[in-house]
Amino acid sequence: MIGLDHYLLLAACLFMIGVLGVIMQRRNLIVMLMSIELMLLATVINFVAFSHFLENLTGQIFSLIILAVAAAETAIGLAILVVYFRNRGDINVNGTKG
Amino acid sequence: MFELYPPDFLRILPELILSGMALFILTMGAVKKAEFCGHITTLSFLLAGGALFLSHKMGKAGIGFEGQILEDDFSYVGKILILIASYGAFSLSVFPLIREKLLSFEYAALTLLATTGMLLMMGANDFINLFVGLEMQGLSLYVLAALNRHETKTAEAALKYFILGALGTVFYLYGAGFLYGFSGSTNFGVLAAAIHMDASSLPLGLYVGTLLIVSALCFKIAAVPFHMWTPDVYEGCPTPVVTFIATAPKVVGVLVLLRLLFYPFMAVYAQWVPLLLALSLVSMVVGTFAALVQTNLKRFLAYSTIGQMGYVLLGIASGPQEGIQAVLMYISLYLVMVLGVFGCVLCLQSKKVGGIQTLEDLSGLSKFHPRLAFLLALFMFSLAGIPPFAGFFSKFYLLKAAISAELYFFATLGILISVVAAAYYLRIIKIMYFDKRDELTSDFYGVLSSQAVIVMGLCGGISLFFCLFSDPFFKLIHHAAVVCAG
Repeated sequence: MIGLDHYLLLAACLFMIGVLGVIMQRRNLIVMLMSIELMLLATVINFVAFSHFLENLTGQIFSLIILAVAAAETAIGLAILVVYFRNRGDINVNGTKG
Repeated sequence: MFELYPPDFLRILPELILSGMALFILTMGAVKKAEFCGHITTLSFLLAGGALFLSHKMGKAGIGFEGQILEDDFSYVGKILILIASYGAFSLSVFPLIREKLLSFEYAALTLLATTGMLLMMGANDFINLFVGLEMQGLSLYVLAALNRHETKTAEAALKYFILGALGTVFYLYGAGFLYGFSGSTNFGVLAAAIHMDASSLPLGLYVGTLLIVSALCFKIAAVPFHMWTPDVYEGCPTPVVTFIATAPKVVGVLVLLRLLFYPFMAVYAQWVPLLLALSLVSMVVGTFAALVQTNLKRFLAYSTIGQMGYVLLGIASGPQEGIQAVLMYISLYLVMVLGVFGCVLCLQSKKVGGIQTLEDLSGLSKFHPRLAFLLALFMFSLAGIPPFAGFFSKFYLLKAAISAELYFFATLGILISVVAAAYYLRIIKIMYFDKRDELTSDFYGVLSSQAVIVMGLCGGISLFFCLFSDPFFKLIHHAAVVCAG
């Protein structure tokens, strides 16, 4: 039987993959944006799982709002990425100081 | 069932005005000049301030929109500070932006939208509402940071700001998820009651959620170890935008941290105090010692901000009542001083290779721009915490609160660190007044618009004469602190 714990574990795994993606992966910016998206969706899984097992709708409303905002966030992230690409000609972050 | 209730709309009148004006500017931007939009923005800040004052006078405090919005004296003070910060930063930055041909109607609209987001955060009584406000200001600020889009350095800084800001948001959401799972509601009041009820056996998830939310807000206020973006963003982004990023979002971050820690998380006080003390310690030490070795002016200001945030966190950890009051005072005076410093830095921009970049460029400033040098020296004395200036009083009350909370070690350390900090603030004064410079490069722009002169004059006046006229201000923040401490 799949319970709440399994969903939380799944969300935690996805979230950790996302965090590691941002921290470890230091070359491709698209991968960084994808990692951020992955983390956002992990939080959505968290909310939906809690919402289902608590039999409470607030979590699902929150996750819909998160989806809407995540779309806006990705749009802005990609826009900044395009600006960056136009100036540099590539999207590798090798020159960025830590 | 849900029904619309007119007083609720009165409570969010400032937000409605600002967002309506932002939409108006976006429409008018197609046909009118950017300067016109600048005037509209100034007007809308004034209108929003008036609306805030009116709705407060009419006694519209309380909870609105089915528990989504909480208006009280604390959020009133917070909103005043946010409006002052945004208006100050905007009026200082209009003229430099015109000169660098960066002023566009989008700048005005985004400033207004970011301010709306901050006001929403300040009035939030629910994690959903707080999230929407947080994102509204965050997304507007990321775009503003990339304003000078033909500059590689700016694009890089904006990208860094975006990625770390988004990371902060994600931490916030993950934490909010755990808190929702614990209490079954995203409302602050329900969460506070739930924590209070089960105070004896709290699950691990609650602590994880609290930790994640505190670290998300620390991303926003740039406390160590979440400060990585600050120096690069300050250095790379256009100075007018940095003026905005350095003031209003910091203020709102600190105030929201206060609201969360002393309202929903009050019952787990004993657990978050050590966390904040640790963050405060590393912020003070890293900020101060890193600022000592900086040569770039804006990087220096970034590290100095990080150090100041360490003091703020120490104040928050000093407990309800006195600690909150000290933090409110510290952050308002910090706001005044930073606005002033950035006003001076904006005056020093010039066409030739970006104006003043390094600290050495300031040498001999007292010779060819004595008034500006005097003003900058005043703010530096104030930031260092030399007695008659405002900065001394803010540090004094903060350390006093820390001592009353029996945090002797941290208070002593705060004093010692402020001695080290004084060294680098005084170094700037030394460079301006005593370092000789052969060639006179008086090609920086000098005085800004009359509006900016008024703002800078006010900042200078407050920094100098704060001790004489502090009474009404004390009363205001005292009420706010009492309300916030519950």
